[in-house]
Amino acid sequence: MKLKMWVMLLAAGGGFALQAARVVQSENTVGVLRLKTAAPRTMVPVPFVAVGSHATETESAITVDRMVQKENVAWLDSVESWKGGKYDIWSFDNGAWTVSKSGAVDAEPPPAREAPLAFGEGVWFSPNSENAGEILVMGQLPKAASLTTTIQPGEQKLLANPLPEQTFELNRIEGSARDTILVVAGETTKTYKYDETQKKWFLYSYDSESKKWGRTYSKENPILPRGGAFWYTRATGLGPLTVNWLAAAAGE
Amino acid sequence: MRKNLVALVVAALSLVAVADKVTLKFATKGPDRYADGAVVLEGEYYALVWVKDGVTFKGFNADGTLAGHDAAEARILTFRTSGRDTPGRLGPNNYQLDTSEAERLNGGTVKLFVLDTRLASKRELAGATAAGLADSVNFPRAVNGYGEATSVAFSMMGASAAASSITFAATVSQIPQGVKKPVIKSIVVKGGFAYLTVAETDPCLQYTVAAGDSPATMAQAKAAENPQNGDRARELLFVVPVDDARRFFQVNRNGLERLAK
Repeated sequence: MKLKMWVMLLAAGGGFALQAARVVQSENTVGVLRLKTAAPRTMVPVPFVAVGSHATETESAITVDRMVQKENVAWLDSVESWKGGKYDIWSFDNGAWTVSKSGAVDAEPPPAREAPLAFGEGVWFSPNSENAGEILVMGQLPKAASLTTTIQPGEQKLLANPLPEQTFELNRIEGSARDTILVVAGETTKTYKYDETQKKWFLYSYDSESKKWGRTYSKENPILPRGGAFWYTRATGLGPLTVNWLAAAAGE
Repeated sequence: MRKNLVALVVAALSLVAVADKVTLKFATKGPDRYADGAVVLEGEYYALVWVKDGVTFKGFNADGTLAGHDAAEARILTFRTSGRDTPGRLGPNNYQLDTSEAERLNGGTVKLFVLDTRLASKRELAGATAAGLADSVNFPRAVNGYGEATSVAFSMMGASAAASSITFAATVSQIPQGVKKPVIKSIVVKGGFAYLTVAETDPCLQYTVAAGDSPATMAQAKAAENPQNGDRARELLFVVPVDDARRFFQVNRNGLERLAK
């Protein structure tokens, strides 16, 4: 049931466009990237860490408040981040990113200036108007050792390729047979499961005629396109999984 | 620029034994230049350093001492300064040591380093060096960087006959040990400009911002044109244009890449 819910959520994904930029490790380097956004939702990768964070080498996060340039967003534009099995939503109101209240049941997300977005995480940006717009995201390049994203056991994380000029081979992620990857592909998603023997991700699809789920191996490695996003579900009972984005890029 | 650099430190070195003394004579032909291309100021320091063979020289601390070496690995033999009558270079100098002391330097190499001790606070004026303002000229108080000359074979065998001219090649100045890396504290984009706030800067260094469409293509040479002096007491503010060609910005120290180009 939860899987179907995801599919429905992901089907709403909008286009992603990012001007070419090679993000590589470099100290004391900040970047400003121009992202084209489209209604209703645009996947935005988190390609930076907080500015000034290199003094603490373990820092690998940035907040919405610091990453998204305020001057280019409009009233009620919103950012959604998947945390703890639900979306945290911040809306732009009165010149600042403010918590978008989600009702009495769900706990409110933290203020935008406190909520960390992990490097490599994917967030949704939703313009208030239907007109395609443009936002600026900025921050500091992480050190090479920090060009990773970690997924905890039992966690479901939305990841987006933070190296926008490069594709990403899913087979570079050494998962487990109980892990699942859902690749966001336009209006649809593709499900991948991991074959621990072959160390490959295979397409896992439903055959409407046989009414069975089956696996499809492709000769081509499953590739995450530039700016592409995927959900990663790390099975419980395993250790944390680390996605090394730089190693994947270097292998191209 | 490169031509100037090659000509930077052409030095003559000779060893002359007098009785129980060994005299090391050295000088540079000039003009010697700092990392940013400027000709060295009057009163600039030169360090004559002995480095044991096989030891990688680790450079100078900001206070003029050697970084990370004990006396068995490397030692400063003497500091000398450029004089008024030899602008932009080190005139003829002698350094005398006992034969026994000289023998202890066997198995090593003598190198001559040009230091950069310009005082940031005085750069806007006529320029001044630590030596030029200090009460004593025997020791540099603040080293911003240094240029290493090529190695000189230093042997006490037949020292009295040694009168070998050697050529010093300039290298990019290096940041003294112990100087913190600058920290970009914030970035704000307004009206086509990025405002970068930079902390952890050192007054003995200059800081610049390089820009490019990717970290791999940043224009270091361009960055060196608008340096700011470091300041421990306040954060530096850099205002740089943002457009498609300038989207990544890197803070550098002392415009080193300008020389490296």
